[in-house]
Amino acid sequence: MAKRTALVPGALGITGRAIVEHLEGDPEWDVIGLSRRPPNYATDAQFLSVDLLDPADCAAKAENLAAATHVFFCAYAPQASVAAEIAPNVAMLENLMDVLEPATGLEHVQLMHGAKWYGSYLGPYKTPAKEDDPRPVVENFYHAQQDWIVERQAGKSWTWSALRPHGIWGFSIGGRMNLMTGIVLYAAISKHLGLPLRWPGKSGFYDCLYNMIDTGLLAEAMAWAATDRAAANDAFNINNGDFFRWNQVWPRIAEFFDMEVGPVQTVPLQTVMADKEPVWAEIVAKHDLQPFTLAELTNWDYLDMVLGNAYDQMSSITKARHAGWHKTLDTEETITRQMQRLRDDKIIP
Amino acid sequence: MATALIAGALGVVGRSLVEHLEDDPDWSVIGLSRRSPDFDTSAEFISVDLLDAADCKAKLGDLSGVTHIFFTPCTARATFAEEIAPNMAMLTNLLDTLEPIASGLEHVQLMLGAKWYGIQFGSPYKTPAKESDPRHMPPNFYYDQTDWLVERQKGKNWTWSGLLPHGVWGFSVGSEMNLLNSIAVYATISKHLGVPLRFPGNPALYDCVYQIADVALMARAMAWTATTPAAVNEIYNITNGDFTRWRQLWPRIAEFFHMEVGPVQQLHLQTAMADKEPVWAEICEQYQLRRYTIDDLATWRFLDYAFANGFDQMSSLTKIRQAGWHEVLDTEHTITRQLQRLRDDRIIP
Repeated sequence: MAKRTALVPGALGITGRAIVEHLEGDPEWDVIGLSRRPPNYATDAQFLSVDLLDPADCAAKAENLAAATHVFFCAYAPQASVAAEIAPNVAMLENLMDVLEPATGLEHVQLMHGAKWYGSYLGPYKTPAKEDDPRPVVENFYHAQQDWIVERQAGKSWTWSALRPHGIWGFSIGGRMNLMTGIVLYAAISKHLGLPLRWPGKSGFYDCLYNMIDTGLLAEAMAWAATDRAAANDAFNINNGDFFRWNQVWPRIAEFFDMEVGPVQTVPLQTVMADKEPVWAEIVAKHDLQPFTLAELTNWDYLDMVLGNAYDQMSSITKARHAGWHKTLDTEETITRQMQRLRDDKIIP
Repeated sequence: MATALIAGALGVVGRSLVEHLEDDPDWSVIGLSRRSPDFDTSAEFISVDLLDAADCKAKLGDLSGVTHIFFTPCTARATFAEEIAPNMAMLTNLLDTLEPIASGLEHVQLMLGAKWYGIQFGSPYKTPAKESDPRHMPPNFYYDQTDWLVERQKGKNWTWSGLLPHGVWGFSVGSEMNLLNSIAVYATISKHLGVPLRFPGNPALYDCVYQIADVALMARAMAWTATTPAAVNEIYNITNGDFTRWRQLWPRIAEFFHMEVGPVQQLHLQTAMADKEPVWAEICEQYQLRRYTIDDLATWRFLDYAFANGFDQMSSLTKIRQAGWHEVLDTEHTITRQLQRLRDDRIIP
């Protein structure tokens, strides 16, 4: 097999970092990470700083990108509204593809989407959600990107795929959407203040069905979907392969921190965590942690959003299973794996 | 060459396994039942009363070639406590007869069910249920059977397994529990009377998470578990491998019968269907159906129980998947397969 080259736009985000870390040690892959910032983790991958919103910048770096055989498009340009996100996020994809397509070695382009495809952020929706369910009335950039890539790919030799993970569980620094980082910081601060680990989300959500995907497993699924013909030119939900309720997983998190589980106490994290930088600095000093600030590590408004959706959130992965994806993780049993990585890396005590 | 002894071979699960194995050149099949078979089969059938130890010895005392025992019968009693003795007796009578003579015995499989988790109490239980969850407060004859078999197997050459299906979906005549027949008869009569297909269960259940185990899949899972060394000596949940809600299934069933979906209308089916034998006879006459009575087919007591449970009912399949079972059926897309079989066999119009 010819050596493959992964091009990972958004390589510092939670999903981009996951695929970089998964592939960089694999002798069958070369890895090129794209981001505006330099890498904020140890990596052997080649990194390029490219502004994907700028066609001229993409064109200027075309030569460095031409080796790409597989694109894992993890870049995301957040905007003030869902509608406003469509144009720039399609533009980034288009700018990159305009540069890459003339290169002949391109085999696959993978889009990184999520359960927002189903309107999971809007309110209760049909669950378990399936890939061919009718789209929600509010279109977002996932729909626009997929429609764009389907059209662009017609008649081409390369293929596309799109993954729709939900509840991505892993580490990134300064990511816009990171569930785990927010939860572990909340836990570490609660413990430091002598409080039990209380569920800070909506009480209804504590008992609802949820699904999650460990970033290690997600990276495996990304590589699978990008290289297995059975997955080509299609979109797939992906998660650990099981469902759980937070009331089942929360005690595992408490146990990891050696804390008591407290009763539910819904708090707006943006508000109550706003004054906690000094507390965190104290924790960092006390436990000799890496000197990150809370602001660098997490995004409380994202956590408030996620923990405030008090309805079942379930994606069916039957389609991926029928295409040959057979991995499954027991979420309750594995929830602390990624947390242990943070502890080992001295991000949390 | 393996020889399967299927106890309860006319039951919904037993007959499916007979059909699955009887044409397989690697298997010969012996079915046990009190009644004679009500379907065409090349399997050997023996009429035996498993509750009667002497009858077991007399009828089964020379079956020295049996390699795999699939134990599927169950007998209902007025209380859960009273169910233990007869259900244990059937199992111990069978094993006491066969174990001493079947020198090539490889495996004994118990057909249990999600009542393992306490669904029968009619109240919400922890879901998704896992095999490792603490048992409910006994009595439950599944526990007695399993504990007895585990003890009996110690130091033996044969292995055991236990399957915990839920929402078993397939045909049988004269069973204590049959979801498919009951719904098919209910729908057929509704249509004949010119009423829409209304969900007759607890309105809350219509929106709860539910699961189905197609008997064709069940048969494959039974054979797999009994013959896969990595899977033996354990209990496993088994279903189609996805989750659904009746709200999502009901329109598929209505479509199969060319009916309109009506609003939910909870009925006590034992009462509402008590006077419907003449209507069914009329339907049989009109469509030249096989001459079964409603009483042969439908189990209203069971459906009243199953449809009263207005809470999520979910079994995790992670354990069996991690043991290597990878089959999954999309329930919404396959729910009418077994209905079609009933139509093909002229059980329903």
